[in-house]
Amino acid sequence: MLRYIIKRVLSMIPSLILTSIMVFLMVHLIPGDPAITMLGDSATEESIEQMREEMGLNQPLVNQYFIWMGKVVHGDLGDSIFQNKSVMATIADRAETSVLLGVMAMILIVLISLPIGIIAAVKVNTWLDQGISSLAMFLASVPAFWLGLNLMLLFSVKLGWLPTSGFPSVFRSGDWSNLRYLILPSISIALPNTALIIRMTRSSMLDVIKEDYVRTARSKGLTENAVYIKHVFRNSLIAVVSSLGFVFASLISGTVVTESVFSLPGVGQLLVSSIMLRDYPVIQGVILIIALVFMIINLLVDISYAKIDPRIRYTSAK
Amino acid sequence: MNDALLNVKDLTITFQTERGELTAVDHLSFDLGRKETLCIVGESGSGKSVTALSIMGLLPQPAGRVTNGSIRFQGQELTGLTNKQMQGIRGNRISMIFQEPMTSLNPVYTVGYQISEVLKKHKGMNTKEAMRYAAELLERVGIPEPGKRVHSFPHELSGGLRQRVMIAMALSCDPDILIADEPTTALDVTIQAQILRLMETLKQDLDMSIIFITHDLGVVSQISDRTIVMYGGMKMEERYADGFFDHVQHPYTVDLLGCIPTSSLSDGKLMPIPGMIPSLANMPGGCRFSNRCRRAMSACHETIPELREIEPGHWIACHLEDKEAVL
Repeated sequence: MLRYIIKRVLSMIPSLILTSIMVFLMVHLIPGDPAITMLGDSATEESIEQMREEMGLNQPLVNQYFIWMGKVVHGDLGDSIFQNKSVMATIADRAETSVLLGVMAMILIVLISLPIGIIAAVKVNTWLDQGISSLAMFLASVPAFWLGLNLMLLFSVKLGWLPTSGFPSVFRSGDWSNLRYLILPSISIALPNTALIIRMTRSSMLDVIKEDYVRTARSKGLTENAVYIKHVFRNSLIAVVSSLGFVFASLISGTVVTESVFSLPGVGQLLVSSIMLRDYPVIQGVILIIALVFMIINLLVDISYAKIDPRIRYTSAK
Repeated sequence: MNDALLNVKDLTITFQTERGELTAVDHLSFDLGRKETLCIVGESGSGKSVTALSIMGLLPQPAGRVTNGSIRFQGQELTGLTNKQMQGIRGNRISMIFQEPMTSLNPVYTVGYQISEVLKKHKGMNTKEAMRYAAELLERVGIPEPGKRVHSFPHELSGGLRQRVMIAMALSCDPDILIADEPTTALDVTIQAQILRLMETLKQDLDMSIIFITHDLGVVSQISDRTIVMYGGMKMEERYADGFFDHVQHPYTVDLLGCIPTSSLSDGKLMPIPGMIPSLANMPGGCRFSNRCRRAMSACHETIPELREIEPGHWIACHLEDKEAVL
């Protein structure tokens, strides 16, 4: 198992290098001169030239990449052009909201989707299964902003149970009850995603039900519950976990629309506003961090594969 | 008749399909005595596996169901039992092993765990006792290093070993009946022989009856006490006696024997049965075999032949006079 994890971590290095090159090039291939952007249109030729020199923009691209990478490896993503902060600090400010929101939404997704998906598979082709399918279809097609606004109208405006918008930091205030600000946003990003996981759980369980070992499990006299949970669900987890991983990564890396609706200071908003402002260091930093988050979550997904299915441990350890 | 362990009478099994209701097994009757090995022989699609699954109460749901007849086990009617009642019998009084040892074990659990599930369910053992007993069972079926093997995953074992694990699992509660659905078909010949010998030994040790489903007539000659030949969901021939192969009467069985490559065939040629087994939707009227039978007469296409006893302990369902039936 340990060997498998080490191998898997090492295999991340090439993809990290590739990502960093792409992130670096992406910003440098976008038309527009960062020096001009920073100084404004009224800047003189000399000051622009001086700025370019300071930012290292006059050096060959390859040199620029290695200088930039050298800093990145030490945790220095540069400074934001428009905010008087380092990129790291800027992202760290926003990360709390996104991570907490992502985790809360994820818990909801798991708690809602897995039981419903299992029921749909067990009761396949009954009215219950069809009802669940239509519900999932409905949830999948509801736009997150519409759901968000309606939840806000009902629970915040009409009933006054929950705050409408914003999110005072939990870590700075130490007040965990601030999490109530994230309840409605997490519901509104969770529900559309539950549809995917419900369908995934149902269809992968239906695939497994056809397997010979499920018949064996029944032939042993096990109860239907034991057959479904221990033998069917456990084997269908691989497909479910990989889609959960994907959903989780995309939730953490920002949900722009929901963040706007609830005025949350999240990573998604940060990315959009930095693109608008051409705040290149921040754009680079956010994309790099998001890529890293995706890779780490993929790593966790792969490790859980190996935990779920011993055959994966076996073949990859050879 | 009534002292038999298992009485199957007029068993009819249908499947609901897109093409309508198909009859997979049609008025099948047979008995299984104590310590008896019953071989059910037939081509794919003859209804033999479905018969086995119906005894276990494991017909594919919701398509398959028993529409007529009875299955009595030690005097208890099985067809009307609820799934919950059947769970107490399955794996406990009647066990089953399957054709594909490679896919019949759950890949994500150790073999010890999979055996212990049966013991926990039917014998009320706790996990520790069950694992210890699982190792004993593995030893009984001839698996080397059983103490280590209980912690193996199925993919770490060969096909022969996996089938031994399946047998250990099936025998863990000392069942009265072991149903073996082509247990050796997927194995190498040498392994086949080992598994057959193992089953024979265990049958003697445990005083159980075996229903052995196969299309391998060579296997039948080695182990069978009573042999049933099925075709198109119906019983064609049954012999409760030794020397089945020396006394086959039904044209289908005769043809089936002609398909075995043996050196004893005088002209050294294999004799395939013309045509294919018809799908259930297209079964001919009259005798099910009539459209492929070399000796079919007009009566064969019109009426289904009754089973009749041609000598003590030997029945065939064929319109031909018995003396003519031998080629």
